[in-house]
Amino acid sequence: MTLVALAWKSARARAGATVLTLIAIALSTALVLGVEKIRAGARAGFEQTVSGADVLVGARSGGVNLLLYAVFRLGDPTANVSWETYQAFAARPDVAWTIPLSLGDSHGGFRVLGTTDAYFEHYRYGDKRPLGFALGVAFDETRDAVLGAEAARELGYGLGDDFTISHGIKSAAFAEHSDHPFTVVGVLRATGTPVDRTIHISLEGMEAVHEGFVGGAPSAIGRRPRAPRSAPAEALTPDAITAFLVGLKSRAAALRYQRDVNTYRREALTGVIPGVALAQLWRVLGPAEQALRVVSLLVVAAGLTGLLTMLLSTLNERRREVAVLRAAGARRRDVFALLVLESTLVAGLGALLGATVLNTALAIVGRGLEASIGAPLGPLGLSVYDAYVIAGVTGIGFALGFVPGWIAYRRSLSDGLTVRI
Amino acid sequence: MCIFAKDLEFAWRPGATVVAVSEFELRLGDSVFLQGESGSGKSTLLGLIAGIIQATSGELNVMGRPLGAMNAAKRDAFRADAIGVIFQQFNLVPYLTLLENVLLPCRFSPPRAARAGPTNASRKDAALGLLDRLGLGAEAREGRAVSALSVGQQQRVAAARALIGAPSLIIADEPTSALDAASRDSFVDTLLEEAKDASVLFVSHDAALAPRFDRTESMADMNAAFAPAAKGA
Ligand SMILES: Nc1ncnc2c1ncn2[C@@H]1O[C@H](COP(=O)(O)OP(=O)(O)O)[C@@H](O)[C@H]1O
Ligand SMILES: [Mg+2]
Repeated sequence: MTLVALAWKSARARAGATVLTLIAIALSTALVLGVEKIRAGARAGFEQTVSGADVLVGARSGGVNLLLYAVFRLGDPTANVSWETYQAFAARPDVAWTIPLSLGDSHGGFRVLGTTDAYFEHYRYGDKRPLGFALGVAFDETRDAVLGAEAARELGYGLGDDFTISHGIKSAAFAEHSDHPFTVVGVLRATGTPVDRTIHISLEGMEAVHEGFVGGAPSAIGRRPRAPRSAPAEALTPDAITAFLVGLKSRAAALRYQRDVNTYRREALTGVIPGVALAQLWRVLGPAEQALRVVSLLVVAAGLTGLLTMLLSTLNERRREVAVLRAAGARRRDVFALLVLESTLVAGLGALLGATVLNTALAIVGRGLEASIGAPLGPLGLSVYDAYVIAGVTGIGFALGFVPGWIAYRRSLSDGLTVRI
Repeated sequence: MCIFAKDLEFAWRPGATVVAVSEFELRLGDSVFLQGESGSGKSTLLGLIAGIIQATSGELNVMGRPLGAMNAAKRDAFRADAIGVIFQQFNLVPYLTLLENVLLPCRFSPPRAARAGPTNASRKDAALGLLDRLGLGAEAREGRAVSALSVGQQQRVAAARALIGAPSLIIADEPTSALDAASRDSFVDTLLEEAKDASVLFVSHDAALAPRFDRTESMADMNAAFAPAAKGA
């Protein structure tokens, strides 16, 4: 029988205390790994989301705020950009393309985005990848809609299905524009970004939805005559949009473009360079992330303290056991090693268990979690960081084992051959 | 000579000498009954002989090896190889099976493992053979937990563990004090029978057992013999 087997049997003999300690370590490890996964996942998710645009323009607000609501669909826009202003900035000679973004409505909990064909042509995510169609084509007519992959899957809509859109983000039935049904003409491939959870319609379609509504509620005066199914685009030109993405002919022009936006006289605007705004977001979140990390590490420390407490509390009942082992020929360093091994085993198994539980749980509920935090998690499964944490917890367990190990080592001398209880 | 001690002294605390033996000998193959009051230092003397603690002064040879000249690790290895130990009680590791308890010394001493048998299976057979002769073969084959054994049975398992791998010296520290008279006698008889090739140092305060041994020593006499010399010095 090896010392490891002996340590294992000893730990198993005190199953109650051992299992509780193991669970404490597993839970605390899972917490550390979970915090890190969500943090890294959210970061990766954010960074993946918009990769092609040079400047994002919206009504005057904080750059981070603008980025959050316009690109990540987090929160609600507070003000709009007028159509004239958009036109003016889109027509500049240094502009290669623009994508107008008009937000506000929702269907079945998915955000509705009014935009143009330019979205499908110029939007880039991840490693500068373009959007692609899994089914169908881009919208053409006012009532056409293109669904993100997840929206299509969760709503269960396919090509040709009709649905209606409610005003505001709640899917409350009272505001459903039930007389303006949309038809699904396309479904995008999954991107792992908020695009997947978006319902895309044309700006004209968005305008048609809002007809006859004043300030988001049905007008008391009554509706204007209903627009024909294929209304001429001019008749449905919007007054304003939420924001727009700009692709410049030369990246170098981005700072100038941004300055011109920020100093525009006729309307209070904010222009941000997405990468810069993201970096700003991380700076804002940095201390919070750090605090979260520290708290989760403290929880691990608590779990490991429990391990030390357990081992120290068993030392007394172990005196006879140690005396027997010594009499049977165990060296003092075997006694020391036995306690260090037991400590290492419990910590290591606890950490492994925690990592396994966390990764299994994430594999099961990961998608739901992505939906509820509004950003995709990074790749799931055991990561290098996980391995480091497991190794770290095991290493600390090893080091902590020196304390009871040393006490038992010393005691096996002062106890002599027979323990007097 | 199995044990040779001269002017051996040990104190747990400075100034409070517990063991002071001017001379003690145990020849190879002999059995000695060591008698003494509680607290007279019998267990301490066994601890010295087992090499768990080290004498404050004096000479102590076991199997011709001077324990005083050996470091703790060497004494530990020597004990594992050469000495079988039986305590008064609580002799067994509770989370090991009966058989694992008996085979424990083979884990710590390659020579004893080799003497018990060339393979794991043969060592197991040797342990079962010993337990059979001690009347515990059935319990061992059942894989019974040591906590399910009576005190008498536990002491016999401890005897099997002390005997496995034929150590040269068996030391037993009041192994029968928790047994009734009948099981006490049969325990001692079986132990001496199984250990007839080894030397036996048997500690007890129960004088009724003395006739079964080659020789009887009194702890008080050994300590007293030293005392005047110590005082005179
Ligand atoms: N581990 C120990 N630490 C300190 N003192 C001890 C220890 N073991 C025994 N003693 C003391 O040494 C003396 C002899 O004890 P011991 O050798 O156990 O005697 P016996 O076995 O004859 O009853 C006693 O006074 C006892 O208190
Ligand atoms: Mg004693």
